[in-house]
Amino acid sequence: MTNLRILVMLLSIAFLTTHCKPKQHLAKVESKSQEFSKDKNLSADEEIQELIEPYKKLTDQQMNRVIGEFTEEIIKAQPESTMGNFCADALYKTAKDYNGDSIAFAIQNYGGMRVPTIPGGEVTRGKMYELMPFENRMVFLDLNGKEVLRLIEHITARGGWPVSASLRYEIYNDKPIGIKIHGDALEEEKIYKIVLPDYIANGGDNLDFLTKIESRKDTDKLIRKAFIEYILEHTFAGIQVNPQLDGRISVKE
Amino acid sequence: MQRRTFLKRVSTASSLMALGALPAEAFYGAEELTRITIMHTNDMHSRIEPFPMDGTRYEGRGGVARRAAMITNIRKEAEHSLLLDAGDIFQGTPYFNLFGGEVEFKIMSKMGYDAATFGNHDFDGGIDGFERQMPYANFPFVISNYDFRNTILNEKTKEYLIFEKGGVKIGLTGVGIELKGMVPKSLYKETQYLDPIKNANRVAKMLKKELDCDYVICLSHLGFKYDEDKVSDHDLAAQSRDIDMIIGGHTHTFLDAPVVVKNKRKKPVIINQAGWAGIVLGRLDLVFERNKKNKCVTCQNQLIG
Repeated sequence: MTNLRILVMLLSIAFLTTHCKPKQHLAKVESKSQEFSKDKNLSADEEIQELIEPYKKLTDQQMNRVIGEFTEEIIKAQPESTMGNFCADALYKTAKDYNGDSIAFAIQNYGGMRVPTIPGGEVTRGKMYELMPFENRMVFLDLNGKEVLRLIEHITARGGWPVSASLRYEIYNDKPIGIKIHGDALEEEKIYKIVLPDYIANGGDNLDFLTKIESRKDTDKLIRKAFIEYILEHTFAGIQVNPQLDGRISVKE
Repeated sequence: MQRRTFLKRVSTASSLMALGALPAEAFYGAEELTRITIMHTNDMHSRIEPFPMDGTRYEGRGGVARRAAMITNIRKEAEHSLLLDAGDIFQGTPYFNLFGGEVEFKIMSKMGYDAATFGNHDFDGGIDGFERQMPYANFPFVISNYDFRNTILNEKTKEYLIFEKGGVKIGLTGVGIELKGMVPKSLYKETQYLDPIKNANRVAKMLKKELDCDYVICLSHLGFKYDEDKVSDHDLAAQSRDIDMIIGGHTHTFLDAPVVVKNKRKKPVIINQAGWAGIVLGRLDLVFERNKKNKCVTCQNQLIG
């Protein structure tokens, strides 16, 4: 082999690897997303099953305890729903027991409810963890009538959040009208004690103005615990929990 | 120099080369196809077991053990694959309340996840809680728009990752949603949220132009699309230049087929999302044609659903 040939060869390698580098062109994309649970022949991966087993045992021990019964399936929906009414009424009841009789209303953020439905019949402690997995705690705030209106306007703009039965109003053109608290019209200068999860009181869902409310009382009471205790109270009284729609928030055409 | 003339000139050399170490294909631009299977999940929300058989909407669906079996089956036939998650691994079942994320990370590690990005709920145990679980994750976390410098996660996440699969260089980055107003500050602490579009574009450009990637995927927890003025995967796609695929989350969107949005160069960006709770395993097979031409012979320029 001549020197010239070797030189040409080396040059060609250099050229091909730098200037004429092969390109990757995307020729096609095939979409093959799949719901594996529809494949009846697919059995569980044993290694994963083994890994889960000890955790599952501990979880089941703590979570499978039946705490009560719902008469019917409860459903998450807007502006008013059976699930929302259950949550807000449970919070209201717990707050009332905690604070005496002076609660105007309870409010729960819609996104804080983490399951779409809970079936009727027996309900376990674990189900309440799924409904309310967050370690949110109960907070009392004293709001004047103007601030209450601002809060209700906010939740109305969000499509309606769960509120306790003590608060009723109508939605007209995406605005709240006819607000009544314990049957009385909202008064601008009056002070109302409300109860809500700390998540909202701390400015969650961009409710920053609530962080500036001076009269505030934090508690150690978990929202989830309020739900569980509310169910247990029914169970001890020998009755089922039966949340109903009562038109507390209605849409005016 | 014209390529054809050049090839003639080197023909002698190349015939000699063919006897050597280099394959002839290096000289003649034969088309070579490479299939890369992208598997993905989002918003798993601690759904370890399938939904219980209680008459509710998703009963019997999901569950990590069967998902793992499906992933194993896919890997058996797919030579090149990636397994990715777009965030919200944590929160939703008592497994998270009781064990803080340990079970989720251990399972994902065993399944062989290649990377994940952050969802807002991944901060639910606090940023310290996340850091505490990181030893159980043998896969990296990739995000370009959370500045963790003044937090415990400093230098523990990646802005991008590069995977070489069958001669194809795939760049991966990630974007997260604005945390303020959604996650209590006491949980995310000094994490700074940065503009997702600006940062994803910055990293994608670097991946394509400087780091020589053939394809760029962005994991996103921004959400699929909104009526209100809030940045989404659609916005990111439309305002991008170097992102080829967005694997999304947050809005728990089930899609019958991926969506294609044109980017700033009028090139298609594929957006996909796989519902939530691990009910669906997202899967997109990318077929690359390797050649030395400027155009592609087998390209169909379309998504086959």
